[in-house]
Amino acid sequence: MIKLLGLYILAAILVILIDRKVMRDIPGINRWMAYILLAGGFGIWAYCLQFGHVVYGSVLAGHYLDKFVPF
Amino acid sequence: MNKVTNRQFRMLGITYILNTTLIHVPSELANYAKQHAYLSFFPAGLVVALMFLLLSKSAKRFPGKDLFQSLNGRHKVLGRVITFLYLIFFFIILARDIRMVADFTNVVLLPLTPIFIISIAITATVIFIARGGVQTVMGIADLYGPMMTTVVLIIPFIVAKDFDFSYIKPYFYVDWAGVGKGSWVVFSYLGQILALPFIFSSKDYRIRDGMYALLLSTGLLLLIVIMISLLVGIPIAESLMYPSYEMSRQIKITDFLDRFDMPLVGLWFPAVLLNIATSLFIICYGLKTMIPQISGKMMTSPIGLFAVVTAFWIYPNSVEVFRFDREWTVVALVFVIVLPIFIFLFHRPHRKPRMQEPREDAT
Repeated sequence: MIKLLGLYILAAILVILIDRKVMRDIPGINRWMAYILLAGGFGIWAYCLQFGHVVYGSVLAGHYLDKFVPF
Repeated sequence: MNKVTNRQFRMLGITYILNTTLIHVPSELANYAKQHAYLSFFPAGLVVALMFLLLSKSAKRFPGKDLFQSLNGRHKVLGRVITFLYLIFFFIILARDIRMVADFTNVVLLPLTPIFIISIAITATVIFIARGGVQTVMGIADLYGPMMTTVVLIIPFIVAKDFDFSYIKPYFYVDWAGVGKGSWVVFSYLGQILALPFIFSSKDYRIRDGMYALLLSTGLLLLIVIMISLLVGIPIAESLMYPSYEMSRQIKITDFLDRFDMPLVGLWFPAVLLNIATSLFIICYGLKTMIPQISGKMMTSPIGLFAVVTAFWIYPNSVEVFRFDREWTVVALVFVIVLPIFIFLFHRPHRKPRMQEPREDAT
């Protein structure tokens, strides 16, 4: 689990490093959106990897959408 | 605004539908419609064609603008809400496609490589394609669109000697309920072509280019499903995760060229990466149109990485990617039927004020 989280953090660092020069010049909303997406991604990934019960998106959505499927 | 030629528009339309749909949808169609799996494309294709017509007509009311631009320019709040909803829709398609291709690669090509590494590698490539902008996407579509079309059209001539027509008997006993269920499942995949009027200026394409793309991609998918039915057979195809790959394994050119599936996958894989990159490009371009201060190019990386982890949160395992197609069509109906009709009815330019006629002077 720690390895996979570590891989995500490495990928996130690479994402920031790729655009570090551009990030200084562009409007701040880009930086904030990037940081929010990366932090949110870390939270989702940590939730998926935890040992407790995980509620997956398709299972949750399928529970509510199933009644609208005609078969 | 993204410039595109008519040919590039058609090629991108074909690529955007064909390459992900052929992965596992034939298995579901075989499961529901049995030997008449190919008939499932007709009802879904007709509905999507009608919706594409409506959406393109709406786009053409604003010459020189794509739908994202015209929606955000004409309706400040409602336009942004509709754009945001479509971005969520294409984001889930992006996550689904990343997961689908990563699963396929993990099962078929690289069984010992951890799936997270595979998905990161796929997404990294997709990010670099999307960062190149519409010119990179179009360039790859110009190359791989005709290539995939030619390959799919040539395969029947190579494998025709192995066709067993008893696999599709009885010919005229059609389970129409099963065909309807298959149509339901394939509907969301064909509906992806509605993305194109959102990102390309209405001046740069003709409505018939989209129709050609839909017709050709549906025809190619139909051909693939028929070949699967005749080569692999329905009982095996409905049990396989990737019947198209199993069908390609049956291709033998001569006695010594028996692993022809490898070059085929080598040709198909960049095309499916293009497919995923198109989804990422649509999201970043839509975001930029919604919030002009955002740099679409810079946002490709964070959105791509977010899509990878979302793909693993949405689907707990490979089988769920198949199973959720049933419920996903309910969501797709909103974005492929309801919203396009809404846009067609209400998205119109401002009425020009009438010139006031000069009053006659009483004196």
